[in-house]
Amino acid sequence: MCSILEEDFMYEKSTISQELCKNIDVLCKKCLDNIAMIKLQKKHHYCKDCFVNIITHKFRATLGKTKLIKPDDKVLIAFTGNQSSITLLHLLKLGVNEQIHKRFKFHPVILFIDESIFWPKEKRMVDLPKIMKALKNSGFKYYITKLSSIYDNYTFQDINDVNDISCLKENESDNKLLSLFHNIQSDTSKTDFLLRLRYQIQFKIARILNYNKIFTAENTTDLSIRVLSNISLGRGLQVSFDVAVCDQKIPDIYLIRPLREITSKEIVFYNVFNKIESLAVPSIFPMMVYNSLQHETELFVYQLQEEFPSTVYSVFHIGEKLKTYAVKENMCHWCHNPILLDTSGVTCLKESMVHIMSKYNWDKPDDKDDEEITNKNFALPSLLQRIPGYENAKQRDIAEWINGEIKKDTHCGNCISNRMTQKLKQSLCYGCQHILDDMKSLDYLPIGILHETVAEFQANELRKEIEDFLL
Amino acid sequence: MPIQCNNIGCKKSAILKRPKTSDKICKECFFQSFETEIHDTIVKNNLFHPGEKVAIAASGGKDSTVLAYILKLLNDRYNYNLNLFLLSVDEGITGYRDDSLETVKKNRDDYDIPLKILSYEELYGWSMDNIVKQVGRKNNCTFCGVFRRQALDRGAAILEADCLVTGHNADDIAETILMNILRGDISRLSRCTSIITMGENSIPRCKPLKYAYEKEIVMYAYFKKLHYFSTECIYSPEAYRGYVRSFLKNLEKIRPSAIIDIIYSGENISIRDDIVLPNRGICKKCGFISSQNICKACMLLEGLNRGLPKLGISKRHKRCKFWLEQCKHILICPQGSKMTSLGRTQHMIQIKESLFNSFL
Ligand SMILES: [Zn+2]
Ligand SMILES: [Zn+2]
Ligand SMILES: [Zn+2]
Ligand SMILES: [Zn+2]
Ligand SMILES: [Zn+2]
Repeated sequence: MCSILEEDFMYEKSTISQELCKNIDVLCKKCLDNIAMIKLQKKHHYCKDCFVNIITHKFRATLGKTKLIKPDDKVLIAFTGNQSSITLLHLLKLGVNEQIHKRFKFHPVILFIDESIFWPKEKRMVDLPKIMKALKNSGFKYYITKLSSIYDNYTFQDINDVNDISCLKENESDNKLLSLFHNIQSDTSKTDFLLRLRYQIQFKIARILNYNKIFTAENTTDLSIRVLSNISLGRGLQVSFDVAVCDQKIPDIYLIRPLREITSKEIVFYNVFNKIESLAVPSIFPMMVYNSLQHETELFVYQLQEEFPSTVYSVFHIGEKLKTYAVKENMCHWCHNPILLDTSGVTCLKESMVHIMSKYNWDKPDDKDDEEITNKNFALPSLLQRIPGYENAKQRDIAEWINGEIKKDTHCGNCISNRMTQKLKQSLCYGCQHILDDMKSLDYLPIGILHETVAEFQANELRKEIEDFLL
Repeated sequence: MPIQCNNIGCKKSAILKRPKTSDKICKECFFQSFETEIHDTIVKNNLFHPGEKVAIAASGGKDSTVLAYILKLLNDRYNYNLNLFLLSVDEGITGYRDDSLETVKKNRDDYDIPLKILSYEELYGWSMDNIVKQVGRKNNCTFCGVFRRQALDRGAAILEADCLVTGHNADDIAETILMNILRGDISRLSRCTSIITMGENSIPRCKPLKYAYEKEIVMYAYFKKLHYFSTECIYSPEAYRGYVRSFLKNLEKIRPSAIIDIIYSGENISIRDDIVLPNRGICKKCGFISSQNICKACMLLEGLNRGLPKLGISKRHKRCKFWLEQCKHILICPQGSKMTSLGRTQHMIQIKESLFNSFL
């Protein structure tokens, strides 16, 4: 299996040698003057300068197209330390140092979210300081926070005070985060949930710091892999958001992707030509979980891309041609994507599957395999306790009653808990329902993620839910 | 200790794990769920109406054999009141269709469904062998490909069927969705998930097995001891489709629901309103769907009939490569043509068994 290193640099190894133009007779396609250094898509030859110009131009053109960035805007730059995000910093730096008429008038501020808790310890020791150095040398103001701060009640001051990674001590939240992911049973759901969590934390921090625009460093290749994996996760409906130049699922925050028209290969060359040191930060899989649909898709796209160089563009453009749905009415509480109340084929199929296999997902027999599912049911009351306003007497009555029922370990207690999980499921999209299914326990779900979902459980609604079971 | 069947109220012990849901169930419950799911698909999508004449595309392969068996069964069980018949096309290539046609004939006898075999001669006025004589070996794959695509629709029209059903399964659909995304073919992508495809003037085609997993189809055929012509070993898909297929198989291994999830994604995407898709018109000569005024088949026929066989032959033979490979394979595959008919049956059973073992 591939190592962390190979992943982000899948191109670097194979292509730097191959794609660098060996034929010294070929002239650059653009300036027709210099000898070409690089060959793109197996046919376009460019010299170093022209290539760098093309990339810079693409970046500026993409930003211009959004028509969203106004002079004096404050923009949060989501920096992960991977190849693309280093390129993004470099391009921004060039932009703010340009001659006056071309100079960027907005103010980039970096946000680094530390996910190193998922890294092996040795890697943390070596690579975190490198990232800190890159942040300090960037010349921009920066904020640092941890992924686990999704659990914390941070204020502006809390975030502002952190200016070095050493300020981030291991704490209770880190353990919660680890437990949360430990409870997710498949690598696919782990990877998917991490992605959702990254968005959540970006939005959370942006709100605390009072920013409404975020730049992310996703490139064409990343996005086309995202499109394809979302298709196999049953997230087809949201593909148009995934590739959009500006993803505005959340009404108060614009997520902008200025590198979306630059491929990962171009990123690598850009960095090589500009002598930018890479930091060996994995882009998608920091947890070293590989048995996932997303990882399989990434491998597949990179392999196919070798033989059919248009693959990445084809997939990307499919995403662009699809309809964006309005999400205001029926939004998934976890990923903010639309929930479709459809009557289409698969939904019908699932109905008939539930109908036939009425045990499925409802009431598993006492098989060893299924012990975990029972655990999930037990977790629900404790989840209820974390609802704000839970102290409300009525709610407590119900929870106590459920607790009692479950302690009796009767059929009925399980049924009720299952019905509650079903209810929870209804506030999630098809894709997030998969994640929920893969969770052994809901105990460590951060309240920010839970809140909206569980708040839906109004006391009377809950009462209605279980009335049928009250004898 | 034997595991009890997961199905509620069932006291039997489970003997298999459903590929689709990983439920451990008994044989009877598997039949029950497999059949009911197809029944629900038919009913909820309004695939048929009472009194209709339904042509079942029969190739002798596992999908079409299971389709024929199960339609007959559901038609009797739920009183669909359909007039079912099997429809096969004989291309008239010496030595190619013989075995599969034998299987289709056996299906006819076993399930008591009438069979109609139409030859290329009847459909187009030319047999493949005669075409080869006219155009030479080099170009015949063009004809095969083009004629084959239309043959079933033409046959169904000649026999005045109200509907043509094909054995496309969930794996096929998911694979096609992925293919169209990877190739950036937005118009095919928007079409490929519909369970009924309507062509102007032509007969609706539908896919009752759209949500049935290939593995479950094989499993069903195995337990029901259905006789089919194994096409697995002679299958050599074009390279690109081959990549996509193995990718899909890998996804299924990681998460079995991936196939259904891909179909769900495919069903739910829709194209932006401002994107104009190429118009799908109909052929002025024969009335079948065509992007040109005169369809490819009519063009080729025109050439043949006027003694100008090169008319309409595209320079891109690659498209037909798959077909050519298949023709070649049956003739040269040591396990295919050179086997005795008994040996071939054993070969089939071997393949089925090894597929089956992978479920347990
Ligand atoms: Zn140049
Ligand atoms: Zn969701
Ligand atoms: Zn059973
Ligand atoms: Zn063979
Ligand atoms: Zn025609």
